[in-house]
Amino acid sequence: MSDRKNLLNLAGVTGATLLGALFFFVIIGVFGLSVAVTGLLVFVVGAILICRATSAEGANL
Amino acid sequence: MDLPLLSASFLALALTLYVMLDGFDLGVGILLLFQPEAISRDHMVDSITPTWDGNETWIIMAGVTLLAAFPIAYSILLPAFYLPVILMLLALGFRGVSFEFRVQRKEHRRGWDIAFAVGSLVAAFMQGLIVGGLMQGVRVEGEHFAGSVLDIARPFPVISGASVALGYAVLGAGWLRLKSNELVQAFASRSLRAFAPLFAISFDLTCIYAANFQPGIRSRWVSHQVVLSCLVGWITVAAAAIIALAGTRKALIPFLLGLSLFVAGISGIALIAFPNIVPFSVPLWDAASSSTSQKFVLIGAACVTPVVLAYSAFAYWIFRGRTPEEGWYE
Amino acid sequence: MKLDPAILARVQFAFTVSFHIIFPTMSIGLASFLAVTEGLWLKTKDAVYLEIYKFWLSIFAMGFGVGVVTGIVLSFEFGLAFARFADMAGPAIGPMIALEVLTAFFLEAGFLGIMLFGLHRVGPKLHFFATCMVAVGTLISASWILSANSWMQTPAGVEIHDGHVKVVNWYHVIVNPSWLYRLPHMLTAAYLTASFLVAGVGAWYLLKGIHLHFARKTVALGTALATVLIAGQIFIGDILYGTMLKYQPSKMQAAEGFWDKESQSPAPYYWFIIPDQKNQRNRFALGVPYLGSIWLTHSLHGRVTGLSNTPPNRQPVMGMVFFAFRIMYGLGIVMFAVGIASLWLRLRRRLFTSRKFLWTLVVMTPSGIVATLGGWYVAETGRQPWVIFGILRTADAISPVPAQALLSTLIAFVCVYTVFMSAFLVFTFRIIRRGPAEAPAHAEASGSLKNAFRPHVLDNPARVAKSHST
Repeated sequence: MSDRKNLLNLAGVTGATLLGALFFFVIIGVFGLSVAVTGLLVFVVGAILICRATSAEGANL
Repeated sequence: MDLPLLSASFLALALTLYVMLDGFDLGVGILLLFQPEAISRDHMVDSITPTWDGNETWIIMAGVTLLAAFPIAYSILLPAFYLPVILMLLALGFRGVSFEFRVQRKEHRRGWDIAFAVGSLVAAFMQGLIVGGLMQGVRVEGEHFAGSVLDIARPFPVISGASVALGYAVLGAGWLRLKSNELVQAFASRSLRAFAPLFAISFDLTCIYAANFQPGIRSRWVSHQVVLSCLVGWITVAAAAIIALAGTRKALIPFLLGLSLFVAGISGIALIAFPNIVPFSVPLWDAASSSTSQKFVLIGAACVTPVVLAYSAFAYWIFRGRTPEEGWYE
Repeated sequence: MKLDPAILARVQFAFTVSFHIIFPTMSIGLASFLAVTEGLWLKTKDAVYLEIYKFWLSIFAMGFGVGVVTGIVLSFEFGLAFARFADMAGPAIGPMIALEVLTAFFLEAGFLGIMLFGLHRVGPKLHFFATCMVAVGTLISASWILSANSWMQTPAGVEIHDGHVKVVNWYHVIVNPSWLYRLPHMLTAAYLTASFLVAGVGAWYLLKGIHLHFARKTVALGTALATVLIAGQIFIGDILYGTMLKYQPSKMQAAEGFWDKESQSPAPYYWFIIPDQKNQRNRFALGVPYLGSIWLTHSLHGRVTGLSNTPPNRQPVMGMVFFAFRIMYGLGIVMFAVGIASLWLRLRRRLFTSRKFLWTLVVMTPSGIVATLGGWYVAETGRQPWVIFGILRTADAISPVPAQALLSTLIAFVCVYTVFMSAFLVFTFRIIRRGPAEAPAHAEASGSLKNAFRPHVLDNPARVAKSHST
């Protein structure tokens, strides 16, 4: 069971890393300006949503 | 409209405000050297803590106005006074950081007090040195400084330095009479009685030396004898009045008289220097930037200075009255 | 030994301005952070926000003081070390800095006293106003000085007569080609700096298991801000890169480490080089294949323009620009990774418990400062050999001051500034070790603005608070 948990964790971390790298290259304009602006907005809105969602419980914001 | 003249007036205003406001701040700092009681020293520093930063900002205003409106003069005068300006800046640095650093550890407070006091003294002395160096005349070739950085190491600038430092001590003592508790007020009265005469002697010596040995000043003295004599007279009379009032309950008058000493002094210097901005070789108009720059500064100054003075006065008003015994920190 | 006044003047200015920039970067960020925190306290009445405010206020106060005194030095140092520059450019940058003093320095100074010492003299709303005014002052200050520096990088709106600058269009001087890109970049850098400072200290407390409520709030706040800001910063940075490519091609050519007029195709992305400026080549270069074309030309086979496109007597020193640039955005990439990680950990509910992450935050505490310094070194060394790009060379701008004077004052600056920095660090660590003070039960300041007009509030705030609490 612990192995499965570790594997899922590893998959999640890898996914997050790849997604992050993708956002990075999008934002620095490798795919063009309009894609960069869109990507930036998606990232920022997504980050804000995640922060607000996780603050509903616990001592976050 | 004579734009350079207007700019020079604003420059003179900034310098006068600096000398009056930071004058008593630096004066209080100098007086720390003569105050053996730690608690009283805390109280003295507390009296200038909430407002010192705004006071000091006027010297930046003056320096930057010089850069903006008279860049040629700026580029001559700063290399000319290279050493005293840097020493002044380092001294002001020590004084400034000591406000915040001295309250961090009780054990080190005395060390920071010494830094505070010595910084204040050195800054004051350097300011006087620079004024003396200015009045002694700066060697200029074309548009550039052509003298030596050691030109200020002469008797006249040195005695000017002493006069300014002593004068600031008088201002500082006057401020303390207004703002502090009974114990420090007594100390301030004693300081007034000690420093006002010393200042008067030093100042008169400076004037005598200037009139007799400084060629540039001699000729100006001769052409403006009446006004300059009145100014010198006023300074002497005011100093005497300060000594006389030192022991009385009147606190505001000695302080205002102290301020008037410096207003008179600056007026005299302006009168001697005019029409030059670099005595005695570079007239105002030759050192001025183009009218577009003058206008930018003057319009900005005209619009914003009243606002600055208003909220600065407000800040002083918030911290009015006697400085609290327990200080500002919880 | 023959001392070169030009080198000494540059080293002296570089030292004093590098030292100085550390403090306003922190002050701009922390001032706004304090305004946000105090606003949250007033809105939610949650005492932890007052705790956060008071804790960071004490560090802010020290940093602000060092920033002010080291800043005064700079306003005179233009003339002390670079008198010929001041003589020429004074008409353009002088009025801008004069307005900076009038509209920003006085504003900060005027309200700082109330902000630091007036919590019991004025009501909470007026105090909050004072905090906001200080924060606004830092923003206005940054705007003016960035405009002045940007004018040096991309001069506009002036004519040169007789070795003096004459302003013909103030709008073009102030809103010069690079200002509107560099300003948000610097402001974001300052906010990022504050975010990592705040998050790092909070992470330290979480690792030690103390001040938990304070620590969780500051880690949450710091990481959230940092994540959103770094994404924006990367975007702004890339846009700025494009702008500087247009107006200062030599800077960006030096920044990427290529020498040939046109690089090979596809071009690698260099991470490490040992440049040989004299022979216009790299003695050693380490890079990732294809990445240069992709990143710099947005195509798989594009060629990158190298520094040989600039005549050698107009070239900046490649080594400085290249490495400063990589320090800056290398940290930017790490910051971005930290941001992604923080989002991931939030989703997994492990933001406050992942020790690896918390240690990363601690290590990253000064990252904003280092990245900002890197960026400024790119800006200033990349502009060389010019002090006003394309108009005045740095070597021609030096003051007529002997080298010995420059050297002795340089040594004096280093000694004195070392004292300032040591004291600042020692006392900051002490404040961190002591930790935030628990806010008192009735955390409000005495009454309202009305009370400020009543004489007795000056001697006994406690009495007034008591008379209002019923």
